[in-house]
Amino acid sequence: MTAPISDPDAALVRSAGAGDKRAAEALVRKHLPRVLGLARRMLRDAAAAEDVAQETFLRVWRSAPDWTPGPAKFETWMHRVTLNLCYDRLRRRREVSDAEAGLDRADQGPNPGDAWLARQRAAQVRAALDALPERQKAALTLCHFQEMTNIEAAAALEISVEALESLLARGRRALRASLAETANDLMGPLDHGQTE
Amino acid sequence: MAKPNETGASMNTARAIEILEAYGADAARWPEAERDGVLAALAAGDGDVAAALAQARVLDAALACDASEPQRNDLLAARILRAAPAAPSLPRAAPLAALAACAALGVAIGFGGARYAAPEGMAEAALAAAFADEAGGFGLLEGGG
Repeated sequence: MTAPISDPDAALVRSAGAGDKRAAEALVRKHLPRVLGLARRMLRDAAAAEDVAQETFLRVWRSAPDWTPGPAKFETWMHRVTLNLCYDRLRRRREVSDAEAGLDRADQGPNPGDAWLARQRAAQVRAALDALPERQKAALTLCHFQEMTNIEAAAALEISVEALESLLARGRRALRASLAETANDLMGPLDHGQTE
Repeated sequence: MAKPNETGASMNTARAIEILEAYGADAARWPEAERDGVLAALAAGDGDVAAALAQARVLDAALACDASEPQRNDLLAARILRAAPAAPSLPRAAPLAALAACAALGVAIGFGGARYAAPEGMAEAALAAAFADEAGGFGLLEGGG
């Protein structure tokens, strides 16, 4: 059995579970932006991301009265809940239609200028990220954008650190290949590392 | 070529490259226990590790195009907080409060009712009429006794 770890949120969660509105507010203030950011990045849909964030916190409120520190931090557990809700939605979305794919892709029309280039670049990167298998995208999102450590990200994904590394490496390799195909003019030679 | 790291173990070029390929060029994202090993490999001038670092930097820069700051959402926060657990209510507080409210209402009605009581004499006349009816006659209406 894994020993419980020190969790900076444990006391807040217990207080919120006992009906302390200030503790609940502190949890929301601290974690909602990150939960929302993760859901937005995974779903690319602001309204759906809000629904996922709300559902995540509903589950927090349901679990809070009986919360006991376990092998994973509260924040890691919350990321796991968010990711699973996102996976569900992504699966449903795939089942319904792929029609929305590509909406965020780069505008191909000519419109020179730095701002246009920046938008094109961001759109290319978003499209490449969204084209990754969802576990690779989730691993990259947790480690790169959510700034989680490898141990926290692996716990959130319920995999080993080695498996996380494999997801990350495959994800980054796929991104490089995808971006190198279309974005040499926007980003430089991604597959040769010649910018040093 | 193996290089010593902080824990005395060594990190070979392949492992340093694996770390760069998985976590990117920012040392803050590398596994804590292996961070010094990668830095040592770079400091030793390992060309393959340096090339992997350069490649990782380019991809990190591309990913930075999609970076966004976490945003507040006060309306959503308010919705979420409305569903937060409430403090448990005191089990006997509600019935006691209801009892107190009933008593207060009773007193108020009592005092209020007194203000609307019939004038003296009228009540007696009504009472006599009622008994006269019960006796089978219409004494008051007929003016008889």
